[in-house]
Parts: sequence; structure tokens; C-alpha cells
Amino acid sequence: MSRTEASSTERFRVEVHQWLTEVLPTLPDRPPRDDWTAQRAFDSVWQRTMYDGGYAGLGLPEKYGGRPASIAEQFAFLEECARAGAPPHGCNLVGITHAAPTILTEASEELRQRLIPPILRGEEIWCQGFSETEAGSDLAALRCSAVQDGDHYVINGHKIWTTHGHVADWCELLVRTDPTAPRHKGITYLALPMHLDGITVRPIRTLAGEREYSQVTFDNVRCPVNLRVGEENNGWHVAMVTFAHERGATFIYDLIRAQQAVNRLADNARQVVRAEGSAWDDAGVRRDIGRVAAQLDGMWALTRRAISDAATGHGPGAEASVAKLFGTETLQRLGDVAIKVFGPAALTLDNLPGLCNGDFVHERLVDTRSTIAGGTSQVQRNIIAERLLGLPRESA
Amino acid sequence: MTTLTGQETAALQESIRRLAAQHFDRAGVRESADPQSLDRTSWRALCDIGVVGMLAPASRGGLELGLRAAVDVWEECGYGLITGPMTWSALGATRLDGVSQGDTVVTGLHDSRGQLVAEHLDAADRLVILGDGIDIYDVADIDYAQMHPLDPLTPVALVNRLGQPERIGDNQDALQWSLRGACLTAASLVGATRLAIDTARSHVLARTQFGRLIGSFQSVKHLLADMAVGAEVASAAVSQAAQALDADDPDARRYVSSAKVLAGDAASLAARSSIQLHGGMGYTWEADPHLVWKRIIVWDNAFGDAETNAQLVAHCLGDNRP
Repeated sequence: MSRTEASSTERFRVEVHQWLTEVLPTLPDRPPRDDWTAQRAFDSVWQRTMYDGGYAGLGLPEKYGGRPASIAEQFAFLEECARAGAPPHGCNLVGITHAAPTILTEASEELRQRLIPPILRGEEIWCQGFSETEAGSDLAALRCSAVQDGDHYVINGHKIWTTHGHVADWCELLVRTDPTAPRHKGITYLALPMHLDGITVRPIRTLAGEREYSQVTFDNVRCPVNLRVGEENNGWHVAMVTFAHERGATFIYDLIRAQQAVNRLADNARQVVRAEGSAWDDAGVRRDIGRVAAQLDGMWALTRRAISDAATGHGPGAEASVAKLFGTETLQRLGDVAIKVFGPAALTLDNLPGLCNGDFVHERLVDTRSTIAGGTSQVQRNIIAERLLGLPRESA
Repeated sequence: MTTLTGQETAALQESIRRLAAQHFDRAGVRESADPQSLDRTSWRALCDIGVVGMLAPASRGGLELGLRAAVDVWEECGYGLITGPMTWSALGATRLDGVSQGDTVVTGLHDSRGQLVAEHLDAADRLVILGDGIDIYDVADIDYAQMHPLDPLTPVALVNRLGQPERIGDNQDALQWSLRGACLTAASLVGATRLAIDTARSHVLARTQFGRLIGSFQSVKHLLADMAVGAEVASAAVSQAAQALDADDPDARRYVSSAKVLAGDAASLAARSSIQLHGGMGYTWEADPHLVWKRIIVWDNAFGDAETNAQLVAHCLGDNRP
């Protein structure tokens, strides 16, 4: 990064920091985790607050409600939000991080005008309709079908692991439009309104006791053809664009929250009473906590390297897989160490007096999904082996 | 302190690769089970391209470069498995004459407590010990016993009795040497990690079993992927630590310890896995993988091993929020 770029990023960072100190106290209280109506309402208020502050759609064109911002500035915004304890995207995650950037480059101008501004204002919520029970890691095996009838597609089939399906207004939907073509060439990407007749949404209870994912069934759902994103049967290409954005900047928020968490864990360890002294008095505990903290420092170093590579136009490639694999497994290790540190206190999801045990345990339960979603750790290892090391692909 | 451009770094790395091929090619160790003492001609060749004097002032024949430049060079030397007390001599060159040029060889110990097992003592002129200051000993006055080494390319000796030290630095100086030594050694470990990966990768792309390259089996691919991830993370962490040291960043101590942990862990996984991926050949003296494994154990022990540094990182937590 040049010196002028570095100082303009610093000015931006100071501006963001100041804005956060002003707006964060104005937000309503965080809603309970399992009240999704309240979650959606809260997340919309936060998204609207970012929009009013001029921070929604960083890197998106102003004509859709966005604002020009370099990669470094986008990272700086997320970094400052994380440090200040600003809320995460929540229900706006799919819309902001996948749908809007995909629609920007792949959809018609008419669709861009219709779909992007309400995402940035927090008015419309998106879900992702990609995976099916028989098409997880092998997404190209998807079977949800769309048959053209006049100026509509008639959709039949199902999706699973539909993030925020039960509160969404729109769905990024992958459907099979040509069953006779080779698998990757018969898929189409639709922007599906979730309030159409024939759509049934059933939330799934996860091992963390939450319901962020749903099963969705489509029974003769009629979707206008002009809601297609990109060309018919070119949906796989559009999905790849979405995947690239999925592995984008948002992990920096999680990374900083994790660094804050490991500091809290060190403090908590001093409060955990054991037979002989505190948990912190145990050298093994200190080593475990220190090792995870070192791994988080490593993730931070990787992130800084990725930012400066992006600034010089060097694209992500397999490095994104390295970051996803190492980052998600490190966050799980942090949770595993915490569970060991807390001992009996890890058996309850309620925080005991003076401890954050419940928060850590809940977080570890939720983090279980991150080595599975967005490309499993096994798929990431395949990508690293094939693209970074040049090893042969799987033979049929 | 000066820095190197990308081109200058690349040129220096190329010189090191040529040097490694010419002077440090490991042919001697393959043919003989005897421990290999430091070859003074090879050591001078290393000094001649400026490696040992990288951090030293011009008045002592040095290049006055910072850690950021040095870690790229140390990584390349690690990849070449270059032998000799490079890190101790590079530190020594900042305070003593004749070291940059290769006339005086310096080795050291990062702690005065515990067993004093020193590398390359048989070839060294001076022994440095870090404690509450930097103490330097004349090797001629030291009573030591040469031991049978784990790493045939790193001779080691047990110190029985030291002579009289000359104190050349206080406890702050000792800390700075300790941090720089750990950072450089972490860079060496990253280089050795990359060597282990490249060697294993070449093997699995050549070896056929069950009618296909063993590199196409998922278990092999995933093991190599984990090795590669370790190398990438450690490499970024070493650069981060080096930059922090050069900038006198308050986080430098922690970043150095983090880098030492990550580099030690990455090297350990890569070196052991590389042996495994070579199958029966990996178990032989003649093949290289055991040399990498033994060297990374030497380097992990230098300037505090991964476990010790993990604790040091832990001690930076809690009161210092990021």
C-alpha cells in the first residue's frame, strides 16, 4: 500500500471510529437469540443506521446506495466495528455479503435498481437456496427444477441449510433448468421472492439450539423469468461469484472478536477455581491458551498480507482456502480450550458469577458449523492440495 | 537501518541457493554416519555474500539491514538447510569485530540455566550466553565434552565449566538479542518447513502405487495441505514479527513469540509428515527427510521452544486488549 493510500485509510478509520461512538449507544437492546422477529427488526435498524451514516455498501456504486471504498477501507470498517462491539450483520448477512455483490456484476440493470438499495437499507432480507439433501459438497448434483411456462418458471423441489429462510423476503435460488445438459451447464440462478404461493419454510433446530437454517419446499412456485440473474443455464458461473464473495472480508470481524475472546478467557482462567489454585496456575492451560492466541496472531498476519496483496491487484486464489481452513479450525480450537479451562462450569450455558463460561460454550456450539458451511474443511484441503500444490484431482 | 528492495532480496536468495548447492549439498552426510563439523571454507563463502553481517554496522563489515530483510534471507538459508551458528554469529557481528567476515565464529545459548548443550562449539571462537545481560566467553577457556549429535550436521557439546565472561550488554540488550534470535530462528524453521513440503510433494508426484500417483490419494493430499497451511501462516507471522521488531512496536515481543510457536508447530508437522509420505525411503539415513526433522528439533530448541513461547504469548493476554 502506498503512503497516500495508508494515510487516507487512517483518516477513514478515524471517521468510522468517531461515527461508531455516536451511533452505538442509540441502538436498541439486543434481542433474545431465539426471537427471530425481534432479531430481524434489530438487524434492520442496525443496517439502516449504517446506511444513514453512509457506510452501507462500501465498494458498491453510489447509484445503488453504496459508497466507493478500497479493500483496505472495507477491512478497516469491519475492524473498527468489531473492536467497538458493533452488532454483526445478523439477518442481513446473505444480502450484504453475497446477494448484493453478485447482483451487481451478474444481474440486469433493472434488477440491480430493484434489489440492491433495499438490501443496503436493511428493508429486504435474503436467504441462500443452494444446498439440497442430496447436493451438499457436490452442489452441482442439485435437482430443484424450473420449467419455463410463458413468462414464468415453475419451480418444484426443495432446499436445505437455507440461511435465514424463515425471515427472508428473497432467495438466491439455484435451479436446474436443463436436466439433459452436463451437470454444471444446466443450472440457473434466480432471485426468488419468498412470499410466493407454494413455498413452505421449516426451520431446523441446530445442536446449538438455534434456528438460523431452514428446509424449504417448492410446490409449483411461479417465479417471473425476469427475476433471473444472468443467462439461463449459466447459473453455475453466477454461483461461483457468490462463493468468491462468501470468502470475503467478513471473517475479519470474527477474528477480532476471537482475539477479544482469548483475552477474556485468560482473565476468566484466573477466576476458575480448581483443587490446586486457579486454572491459570496450570502451565498446561497457559500453553493451550497461548497457542490459540498465537494462531490468532497468525490469522491476523495472514489477513494483513491478504489486504496488501489485494491492494496490489493480486487476487485471492487458493489463499482464501488457507484462511478459511485455518481460521475456522482455530476458532473451534479456542472453544475447545475454553471448555477445558472452565471444567464443570462448561456444563451449563448460563454464565456463572464472574465468568463468561456460558458465552464461550454457546459460541463453540455455533462455531461447529463453520468447518462444514461455505465449503467443508475437507473440500478446502482438496482446493489447497490441487491449486496451491498442483496435486492431481480425484479420479472418477 | 536500511532495507532491501524486492529485486535485491530475490538476488540474495538466488545467491544463497547457489551457495547451498555448492557448499552445503549434504553429500558428505549421506555417505558417512560420522558427525560433520563446520566447514570453514563454506562458512566464509556464506559470510562473503553478506549473510552473517546482515544486521551488523558497516564499521564491522555489515549491511545494517533490519529484521524484515533478514527473515527472507534466513528462510532461504533454512530451505537450503545451511549449517553453522548463523543466528548467533549474526547477533555477535553487531558487537564484535571479525564476525561478519568469517574470521571469528560465534555460537551461543539463550539461557544460562539447565543443561548447557551448545551447537558448533567445536568450530566456534566465542560462546555467548544470554541471562540478565549478554555474556561472552572465549571457547578456548571452556571445558566441554563433544557429544554424539542428533542432527549429524549440527555438532553439539556439553559445557562442563566456563571461563570468565566479558559482559557486553545489559538485560535490555539481552532481551533484544533474544527476540531477534527467536525471530530469525522462526524464519529458518519456515524455510525448513517449505523444504519438507517441496521434497514430499516431488515424491508423491513421482511415486506410483495401485496404478496411480500416490499424490492423487486424498489422505496424502490433505496431509500436504495441512503442511502448506502451516507454512503460510508461520511465514506471515514471521514477517509480522520482523516488521514489529524493526518498528519498535509494543506488540513485538508477543508477535515474536507467536511466530516461534507457529513456525515450530508448522515445522514439526511438516518434517514428520515428510518422512511419512516418503514411505520406507523416509526411514533411511541416505534420504534427506530425516535431516530436516533433526534440524527442526535443533531450531525449535533455540531461543525457547514452541511450548515455552506459547506460555510467553499467554502472559501477554488479559491486561492488553487488542
